[in-house]
Amino acid sequence: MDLNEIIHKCVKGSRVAQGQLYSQYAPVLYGICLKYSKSKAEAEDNLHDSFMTIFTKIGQFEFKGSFEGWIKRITVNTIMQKYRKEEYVSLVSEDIEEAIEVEVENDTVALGTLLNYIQELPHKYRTTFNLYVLDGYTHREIGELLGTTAGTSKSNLARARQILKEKIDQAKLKIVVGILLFYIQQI
Amino acid sequence: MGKKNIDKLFQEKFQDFSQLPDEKVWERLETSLDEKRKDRKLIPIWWKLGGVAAVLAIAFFAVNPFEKTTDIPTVTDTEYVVPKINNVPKTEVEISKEDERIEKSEGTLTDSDTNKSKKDEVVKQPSKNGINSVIINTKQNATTGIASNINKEKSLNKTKSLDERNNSTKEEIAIAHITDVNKTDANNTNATVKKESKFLDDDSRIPNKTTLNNTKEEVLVSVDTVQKKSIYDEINEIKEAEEDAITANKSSKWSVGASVAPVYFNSLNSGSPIDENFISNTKTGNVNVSYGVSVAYNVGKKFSIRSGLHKVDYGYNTNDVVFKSVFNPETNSIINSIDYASNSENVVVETKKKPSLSDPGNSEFSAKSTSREGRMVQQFGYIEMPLEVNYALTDGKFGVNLIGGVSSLFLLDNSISLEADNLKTELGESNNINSLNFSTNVGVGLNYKFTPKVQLNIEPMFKYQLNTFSNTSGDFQPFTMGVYSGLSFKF
Repeated sequence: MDLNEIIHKCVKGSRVAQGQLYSQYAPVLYGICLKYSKSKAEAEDNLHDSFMTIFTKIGQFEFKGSFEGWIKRITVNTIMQKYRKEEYVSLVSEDIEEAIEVEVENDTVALGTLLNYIQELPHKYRTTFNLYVLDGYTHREIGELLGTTAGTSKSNLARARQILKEKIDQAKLKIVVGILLFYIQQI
Repeated sequence: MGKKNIDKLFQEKFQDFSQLPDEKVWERLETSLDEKRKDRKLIPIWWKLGGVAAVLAIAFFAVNPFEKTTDIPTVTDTEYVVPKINNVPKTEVEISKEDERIEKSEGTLTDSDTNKSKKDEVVKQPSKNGINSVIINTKQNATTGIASNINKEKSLNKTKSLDERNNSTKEEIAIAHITDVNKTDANNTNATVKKESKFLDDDSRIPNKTTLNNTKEEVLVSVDTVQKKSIYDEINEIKEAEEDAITANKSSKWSVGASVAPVYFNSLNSGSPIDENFISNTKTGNVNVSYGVSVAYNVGKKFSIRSGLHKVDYGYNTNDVVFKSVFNPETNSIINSIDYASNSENVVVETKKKPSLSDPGNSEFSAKSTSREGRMVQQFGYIEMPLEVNYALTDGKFGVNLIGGVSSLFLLDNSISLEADNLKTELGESNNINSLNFSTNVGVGLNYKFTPKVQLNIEPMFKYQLNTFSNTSGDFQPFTMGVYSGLSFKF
């Protein structure tokens, strides 16, 4: 079955087609959910909710543009909507200097670790960082999505970068200290 | 290893980032989709029932006018008023005409009679009495018989001499008599005859009244009685037909119907059907759908007994609960009234009171907490079998009824689930819901008769549940309210 056929059958509510669509796109969407959630469990909930929205709204897909792009947007929107509902996103703008370039000295950090760092970020920072850096939203779009301003978004992004950098650098320090401690013990 | 832009680092690492989710996500998604499909299916049932009702209503509207013409022309009184008005004057005219004819013919007879039987003079009083009795007795008989009897009596009572009868007197009496006929009904015939005898009494004081006069009177009377009879027979026949039709109409004692209702379930008191921990939580009732068929039997004009079968769902929410999945739940955190489903044994539900739970917060330590706020939804489905008495307060096109009775409810399904935002998790089943439950029902029934056979019913009902739960915490007194609407047909 090609994608269009699967979509058409999903519109009719075919469970087989829904299963196929799920197995095809769940990994990608789960990746998004992991980035935007604070834990694996929450990511699973978000993936569930996103697919529910996708299956409900699949009849509205107009076969213009990429289907994957469409369902990714739905996923991000579902998560954002939820956080907005739960008032996780702070509306208070913070006056933090916008640091355009944040550099880290360690680029060997594993993907899993980076994901952990992202998940550990407070919601507004995690969301902003994901939207801007990883998913290519503009600050204006982020402001609209989160019900804040582009300025707040920029400020949040800078703060997110800062926190992440600290975490990565700390990780390097930890490794160095760990190795040192190991050798000291050996001696 | 070197300095690197943090954005680029993440972008590179997360490019095409994907991860296979746990299989349980798909399982949960499937159950959610099933639930949704069920919800969706309910609407078509509404539509189908609505459609059937509409088609039936239209069909009966369309068919019934034809039925009326082919049936006995009964039902409405107005239809009969018209024939009555048309017939009666005609027959009156006929009577008078016939009377005139008789008079004329008798007039010719009189001459000969008088010539023949001047001797046949009768004592009026006794003879009249005799005549009256004869008339009364022989009303049902033919005119000729009466006439002959009269003649016999007359001959027996010849005692006094009388003058020739006066034509004018005769006419007067005849006219008086006819008017009487016009005035009276079949039942009053005796009275008419008596009146006549009074006339005759008066006449008897006039010396020139003859026996012939009397005999003629009697002939007239008897002829008229026969005439009357035929008219009244006709009227009676019509009346009977009418009554038959009405009784035939009334004999449709059975009726069947279908109804649907939004049903709201709630409790009069604030106890909890689940656990004493949730007594303080706010609770809300859900609105569900009940649908079914009913049969009613008219016991009298006003009373009817009815029963039926209804499928009914009740829903009840316990709000402000916090739930989380725990690897090894403590035994005291398990709710006794719930039989946990196999995949939700690790779920711990608590009332929202600990601030640390209610606020997942932004701290990095609590960030791993999976607890969610939501509500606990109990859903139970029954087959309801009511036995109710319906008392009609008013009759006519719009009817108002009082309804009272009891229902037996047989538990079909029972579930407890947890809801938070769009997430729904099946928790298990309540084990304290009785499989057989009774309710006492009161309500008001409003109906509108489209035709004598088809009526629309709208019945707001209050049902007090007697033993839904075998043990509840606090004082939990559930009730349901619903507005049952539907169509019913007499046959």
